[in-house]
Amino acid sequence: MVKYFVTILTGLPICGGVYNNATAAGSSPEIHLSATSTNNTITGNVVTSTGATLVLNGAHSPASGNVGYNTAPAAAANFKPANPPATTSGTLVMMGLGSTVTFTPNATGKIAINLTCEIGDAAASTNVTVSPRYGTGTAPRTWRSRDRCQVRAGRGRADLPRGPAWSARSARSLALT
Amino acid sequence: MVSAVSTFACTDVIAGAATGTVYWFDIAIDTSDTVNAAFIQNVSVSITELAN
Repeated sequence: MVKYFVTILTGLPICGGVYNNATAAGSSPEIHLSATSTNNTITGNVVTSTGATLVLNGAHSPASGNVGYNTAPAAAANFKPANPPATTSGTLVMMGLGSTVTFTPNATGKIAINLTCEIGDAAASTNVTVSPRYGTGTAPRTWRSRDRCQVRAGRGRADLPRGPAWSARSARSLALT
Repeated sequence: MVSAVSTFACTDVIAGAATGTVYWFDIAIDTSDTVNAAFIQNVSVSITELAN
């Protein structure tokens, strides 16, 4: 027995064909897209593939809650925090942005970050090290090098227990002239 | 008094973050000249969760 209907709204078939196995006892409906199809998405009960959109209906459609489907990623977030106070510290200290710059992943846990800022010093011919960091738990306060927070094991430096660098290449020493 | 300013940009992808967990993002800096203060300004951060 067919448990749901597939309606091709655009009239364009998805390359490779579409079928469901909902007739099998105890099975979960599946939609198979061609290996060559790209940009497939499922939002609610709408499946979109290259050149075609499908709407699923029936008890086993994704909208019914009876089957799993991709959770939508968290909404993108943009931040322009206030300028933090300057520091004369010779060791890395946090700027205290973590109290406002936060993000909660919702689906894949893969987070893309784009950070830009200006680095300055009151004197020329100075080296300033910049190290973006992230973590969970209570965000570090400004200038506090010993604040405790949860960090991912193996990612932080021993002298900076407050959060791992985004990556090895993210920390830079800028020579200001 | 500001004597020197340079731009800084960092683009990266963090994989394996726990869904439903709040992550904070911050910047740590130091200076080789502990007499004159270092600073950051005009910070802009864009964060997106990738679908794949």
